[in-house]
Amino acid sequence: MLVTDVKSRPQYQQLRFDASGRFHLFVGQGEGGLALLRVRSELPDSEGIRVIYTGESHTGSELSEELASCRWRHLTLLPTQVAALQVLDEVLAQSLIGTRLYVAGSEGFIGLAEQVAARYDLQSDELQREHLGSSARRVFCVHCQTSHDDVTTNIVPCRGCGRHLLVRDHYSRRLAAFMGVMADAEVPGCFPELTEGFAPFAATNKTFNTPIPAIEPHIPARVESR
Amino acid sequence: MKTVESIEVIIAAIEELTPLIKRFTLRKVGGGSLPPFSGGSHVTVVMRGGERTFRNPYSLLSSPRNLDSYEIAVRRDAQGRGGSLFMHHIVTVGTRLEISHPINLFPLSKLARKQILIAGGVGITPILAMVDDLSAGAISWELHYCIRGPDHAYFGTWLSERYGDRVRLYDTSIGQRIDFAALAGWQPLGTHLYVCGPQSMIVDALESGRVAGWPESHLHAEQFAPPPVGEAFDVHLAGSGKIVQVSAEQSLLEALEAAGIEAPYLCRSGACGRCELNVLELDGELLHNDHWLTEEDRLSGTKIMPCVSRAKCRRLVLDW
Ligand code: FES
Repeated sequence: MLVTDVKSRPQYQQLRFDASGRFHLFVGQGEGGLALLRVRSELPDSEGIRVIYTGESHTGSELSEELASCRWRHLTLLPTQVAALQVLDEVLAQSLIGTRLYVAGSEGFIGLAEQVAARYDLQSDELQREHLGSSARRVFCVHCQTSHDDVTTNIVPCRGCGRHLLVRDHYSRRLAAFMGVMADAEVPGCFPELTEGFAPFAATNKTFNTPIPAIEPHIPARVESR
Repeated sequence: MKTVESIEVIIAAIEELTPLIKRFTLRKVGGGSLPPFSGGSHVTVVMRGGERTFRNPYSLLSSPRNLDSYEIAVRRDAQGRGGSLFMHHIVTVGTRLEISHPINLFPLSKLARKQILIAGGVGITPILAMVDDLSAGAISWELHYCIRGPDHAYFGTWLSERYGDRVRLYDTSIGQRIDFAALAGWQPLGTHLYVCGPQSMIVDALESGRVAGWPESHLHAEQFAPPPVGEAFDVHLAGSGKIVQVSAEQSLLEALEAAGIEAPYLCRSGACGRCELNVLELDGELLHNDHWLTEEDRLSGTKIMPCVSRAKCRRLVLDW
């Protein structure tokens, strides 16, 4: 059995204001903005609350305007995920212990934000994560170490080495990505059935509006039973 | 089943460091290296004192980089149950003792960005070995150490000479106090705090951290308090049908051990959870003194930590 429900799958929750913290840093991306809009009403009016948001997402859910119309004491809007993560890094470097970090967005974005947070030794009681929007995964090719963002199918052609990768449920926190392994390693040319979206997030799959990555035509439709 | 494997040691040196504290150097009987340990570890020393056997946990204070010997420090407690008096008055150079393998229930975080150590009195012992570990690494650290007065400054002076500014001493005899609120208030993300000392110091340190928003994962404390005394009671062991009497001065765990039962333990201070036993029947109340059981566990009345807790009852039946 190649695709398994491994415990390494990240666990998410709905963001809740954690009153035991003294400072609060919210980081949102794409539809993650919905979580920020939702918790806005729970929040006290405090100098210690800060928001970083980027509308960049492959689902096109840009909520910068909605967020800007709420009155935040400190709101930073960034054009790209990379820029948002950069600002997150800078803010954490200045932050004091007692800060709670709340991250909302796609799985890929959450994973990258967690990598930044890990540099500052944020533990699970200081960090909340809410997955919203695309169930697309960041996939890491175990053969050539190339990462692919926004993968929505169980098989994806690797940009780096051209192999067809089967996206496993094994998530690496260190790499902030799911592992992609050669899909037809056992019998060349034999692939599992191509599916779209990832079952645990079936409910959010309707938000997709990007094309499924092209799969080379020589993949037989035949399903390999494992 | 033997739960804690023991090592035979011989007392190689005894030094009186302060009017209350003696340091003991332990070497392996027959020579050779002792097992490796990390700063914060303790061993349980078995003291066979005539009719009574004491098993007290003591932190290893010597450098974890030196395994030719271990060092422990024992504070004489005249009111205590006798373990410390045994070490002070009966043990001499050449005495053989049995100790457990080192166990670390107070380890340093490996991911920390900054380490703050706080100690009071003999609570400095695990911290001495932790500081030794830290001095070999790159993480920034500082130590705040409260002493009772100039006569009790042995470790304080030694630490200051060795580590300079990183060590801040507070002499409580002239009213010097740690300002916990200031200390906890302005630390960088990723700081860990470790406190070992009297109960009141631990409470103050942890509480100041919580007030400043520190998450529990960054707050660490250790305290080896002797098990509280109380009234005598009887324990029935469901498995063997044995009846064991627990005297007023004895802990439940000690009474089980005295009856030849090898009940499991690690910390002997109500913190690690290893000794938990199930209560099957009780005609009185459990007096919980541990830091392990949840409020729910306590209310259920079905669990007890025999290393520190006892019962006020005529009949307590344990699932053993
Ligand atoms: S031995 Fe650790 S809680 Fe009892």
